[in-house]
Amino acid sequence: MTDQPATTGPAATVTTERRPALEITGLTAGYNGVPAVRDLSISVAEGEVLALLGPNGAGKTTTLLAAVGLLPAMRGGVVALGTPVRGRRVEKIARAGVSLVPDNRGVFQRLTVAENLRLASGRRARADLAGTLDLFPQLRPLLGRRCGLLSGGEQQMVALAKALLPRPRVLLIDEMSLGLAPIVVQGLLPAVRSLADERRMAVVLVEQHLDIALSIADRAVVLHHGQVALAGPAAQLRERRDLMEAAYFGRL
Amino acid sequence: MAQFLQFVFLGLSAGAVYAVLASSLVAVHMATGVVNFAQGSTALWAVWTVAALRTDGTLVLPVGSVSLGPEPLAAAPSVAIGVATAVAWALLAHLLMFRPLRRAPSLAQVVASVGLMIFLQALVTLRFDITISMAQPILPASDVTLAGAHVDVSDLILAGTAIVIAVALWAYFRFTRPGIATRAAAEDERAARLTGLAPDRLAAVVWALTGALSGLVAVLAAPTVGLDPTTYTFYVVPALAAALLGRLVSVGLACAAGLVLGSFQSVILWGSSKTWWPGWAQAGLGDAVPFVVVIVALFLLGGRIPARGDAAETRLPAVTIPRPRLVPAALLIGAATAATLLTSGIWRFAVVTSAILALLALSQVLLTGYLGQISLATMAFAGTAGFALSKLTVSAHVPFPLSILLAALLATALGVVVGIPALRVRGAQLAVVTLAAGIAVQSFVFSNPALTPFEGNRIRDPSLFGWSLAVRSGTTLTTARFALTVLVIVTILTLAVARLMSGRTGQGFLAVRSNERAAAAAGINVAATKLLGFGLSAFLGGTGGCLIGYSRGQLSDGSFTVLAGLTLLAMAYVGGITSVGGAVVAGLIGPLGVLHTFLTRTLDVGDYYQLIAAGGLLLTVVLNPRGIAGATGGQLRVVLARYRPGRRGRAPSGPPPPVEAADVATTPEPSHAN
Amino acid sequence: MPTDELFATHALTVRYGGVLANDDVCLTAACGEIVGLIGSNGAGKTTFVDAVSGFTRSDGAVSLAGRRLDGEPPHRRRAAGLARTWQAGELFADLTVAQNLSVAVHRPGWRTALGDVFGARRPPDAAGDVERALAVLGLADAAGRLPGELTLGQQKLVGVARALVGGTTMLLLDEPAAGLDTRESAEFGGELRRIADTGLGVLLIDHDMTLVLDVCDRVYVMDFGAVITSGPPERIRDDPAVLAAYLGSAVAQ
Repeated sequence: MTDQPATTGPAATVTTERRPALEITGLTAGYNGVPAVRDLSISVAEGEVLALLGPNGAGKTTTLLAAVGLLPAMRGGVVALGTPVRGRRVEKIARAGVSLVPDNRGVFQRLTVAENLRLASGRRARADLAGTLDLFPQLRPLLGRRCGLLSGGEQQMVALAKALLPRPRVLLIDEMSLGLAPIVVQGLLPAVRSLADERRMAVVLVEQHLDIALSIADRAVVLHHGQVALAGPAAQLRERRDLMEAAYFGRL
Repeated sequence: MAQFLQFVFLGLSAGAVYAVLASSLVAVHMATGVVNFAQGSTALWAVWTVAALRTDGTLVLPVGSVSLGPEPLAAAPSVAIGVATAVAWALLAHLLMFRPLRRAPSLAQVVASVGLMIFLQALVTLRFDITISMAQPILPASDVTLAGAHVDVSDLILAGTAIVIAVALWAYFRFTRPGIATRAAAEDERAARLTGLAPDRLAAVVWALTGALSGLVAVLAAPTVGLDPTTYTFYVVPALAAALLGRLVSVGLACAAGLVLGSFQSVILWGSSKTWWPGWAQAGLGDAVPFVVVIVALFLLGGRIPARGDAAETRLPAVTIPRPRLVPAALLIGAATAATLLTSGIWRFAVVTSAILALLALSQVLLTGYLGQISLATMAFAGTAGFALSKLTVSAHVPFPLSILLAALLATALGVVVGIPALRVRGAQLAVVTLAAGIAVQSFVFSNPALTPFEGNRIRDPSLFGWSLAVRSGTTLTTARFALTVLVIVTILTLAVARLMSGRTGQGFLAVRSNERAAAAAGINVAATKLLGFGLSAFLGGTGGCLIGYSRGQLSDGSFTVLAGLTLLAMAYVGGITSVGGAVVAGLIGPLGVLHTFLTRTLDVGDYYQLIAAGGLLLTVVLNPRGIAGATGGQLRVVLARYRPGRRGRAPSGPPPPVEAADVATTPEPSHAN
Repeated sequence: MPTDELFATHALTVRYGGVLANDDVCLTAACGEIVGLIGSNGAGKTTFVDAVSGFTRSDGAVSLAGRRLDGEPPHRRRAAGLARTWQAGELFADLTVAQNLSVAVHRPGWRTALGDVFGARRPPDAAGDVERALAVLGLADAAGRLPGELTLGQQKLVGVARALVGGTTMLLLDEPAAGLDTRESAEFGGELRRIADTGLGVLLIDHDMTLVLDVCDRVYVMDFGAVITSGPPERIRDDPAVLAAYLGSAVAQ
């Protein structure tokens, strides 16, 4: 790692005046005793969109899994909405307001769109359902259809709608662009951005496609081999493509 | 025609039990991924609770009993209490066994539910006055005439009840939020939890619901179909067949298949009383039907039955690879020889039986522990060889030991045939196939008067070079010659199996057990390897069956029951399903073996044997999956390692660490299948 | 570049439902050649390996040393010399590292079973083959250990070693370096070169661009299931279409 204009390293947390909704501190986590992320510290504030970038195997998904309690931390920890994640059940964390859209989208293929949304909305009023459908009007005519029959883009809409329905205060999205044409993703992301602003929702976007993520993010962190290779304001990183490529290909 | 119709309707009561059990099996599988072999046994408890309440007002509990008044209790409150007991058992099973085992390999789940099935059956036999042979009627006893056939109203009500129950279950999964959530969790448990759903709680609801429904239908049907504990326990087999026809996802299909199956068996009964019916099929065909149905469901309907979308599966119990160690082997053989020579009568018979059971357990270790194929048909292999031995020695005069070899080879052929389904299905479904196969063989071959004379199958005593090796001689119950013959055969085969297991074949088996597609990628012909395993296992089982035959002198259908086979699997699991030592332990603690004789003769608690066996199994499967041999072996090696610090070798690998709560994801970082 | 063609696919196509996961893929490799296959997540690289090794139904031709392998089950393709590794390692958890390899040399069957019971404990050639493969990948010390005791990176190397034994002529590697750090990854590149120099063909899929561009003789780039370009690494490195496929379009504009 040589000279970098943008801030780097584990201490690269950009401090903001807003309250942090998700705080990852010194996190080491992995599989079968082998860490996939090491000593990682990231903080996301209310209303902030963070892009978590990096090549395959860099530790992005691991970070998200640890954040929702699906993967226990080996060292360090995660505090979501003021409460430590350690030792709590995944479904409790989810109900407390942390939504994850996993990389397989987490849409129930054998259920209809309406059933998927009904499970997500819990006992909440129907008004929310109507409001969410306003965000994704294409889903209205598909409510009775089984999700397995939908296109990839439509499924991703269901996944997003499902994640948004319980009005989460932290939204984590893993590889929204996987298997989707860029144009489809570009149609979905502005909704996320505007909700982050309106509801002061904290958002972490894990992406392989840089430009898509950087276009709506406030900040970005690039992981490589489980550690922060590069971090900084999204606008600044958009200008420094050379650095991004270098971080991606491990040439920093 | 009217008579035919009459039998169609007559079968509806049994069909209704199949239908509700099958619907329940589907529901439980959806909610938990468990194929619950004990579904009929929880209902059995309800049946007997009601029978006892209505006889003398006594509420029988697993321990102790409560009198609810001097008079027999009325029908309605009895039924309510009976159903409640079924719910209690189902919830207990969920909380104490299946919930802790929800991440366990399907072998552990199958063994647990089989253990529960044996446990409840044994408990019912012990706790209730099973001399009561008729349940008192609950449903109206009138009959109506339909198209010339006299039909009991109760049969129609039962069928109607089954249909209503299936519709209710279907509606639960289709329209209620918990029902939809259960389907969601069945598809992708991780996603369900991320959606804020708690799969454990959803599962508890389904366990309670299906416990109640199964209990209810069994209680209602008992006056028609009887009270026999074994019959009820094995009602689960046709129910499993029906559930598989519903592909373990369709409650409606499972219910319909159950009703049709009941009627069909009844019609077969009608047919077999006719003169035009072939003589060889006079008995047992009805029990063979579920096996045919299972095969049809798994093969002809095509497509895989969707597995539950669980996040991860833990490893099978760790394996103890046998090393050719001279001293322990010599000690064991010496001890066995001494035990044979120093004992006599019933005790020597116990030693001989233990040796034979060890061989049968070894066949289970090889197939289930090493190759990972859950087979419940070991006793069918043994029985086939035993019955072949009878024909070979009595009719064809084939001399010992060629007789054993030929009979065991026949069992091998059967093993390969039963193994063919293993190429398509695995885990619990394979267990269902092999159980159905075992029942079919038991009923169609062993209990079929056309194949088995009423007085049993006699077996000529063995002799070698003019020496009689007969088990009995004059007043001697078990001759030393016969006992030593058994020991020699068992020892030779055990050593051969130990060499196999420590050799390239054992490695290949373990490779297939741990990862089939990686095994195929390593160039292993997985299909051929599985068939080899089934063949070898059946050969061992067949030899064991022949030795049982020689030790009894004659065989009847009671010699190789499916229940005995299940107990054997239980014993093998308790002993340690992954090691030769486990098989030896299984032999010692197996039915009619040394421990059994000790309990019966010395402690006089033989009646509790089956219960103790099943209870031990339940404890083992939840607390100590490596079994007695594995655990003590592990401790022994730790101790030995302490005294021999210089020796290199594989570190004693203890039992696999308990999987931490439900929150462990073992799937590695993005392995996106492109 | 070596010219004798060892391995080739012609018009290989894989459909999942209505999705074209592999679209008319033609790819060749020669003896001693390391061929790279890159592309973003979901581009269809693993599907290609699955199809070639017989784990996914596909249309089109797969040939090795002039012999057609399409339609053969996976274990026959392996026996013919076509070996693959897996992203997740997929080792046999109950077998030691050495046994993981030897099981791929001495495959079970009734003849092996008879040999186990009656014959010599182990034929001499096996040990040599296994030891050589472990030595090449620097795993000699791990031979007696269980996979669970190794790091993820080492586990993947064991997977590579397992693919090397048993008469392999063409090696398909699916992200073998994903668990390695930068230094180990570079070492692995050297080992791969030495393996190829013995005359094996190698197909390398990896996200470590440094490794792929440094070690490969030719590189294919895949996007949405189809090969969009191929050529020597120096040309691929600067191809804007590649960056677009890999990092997203805007970056390369």
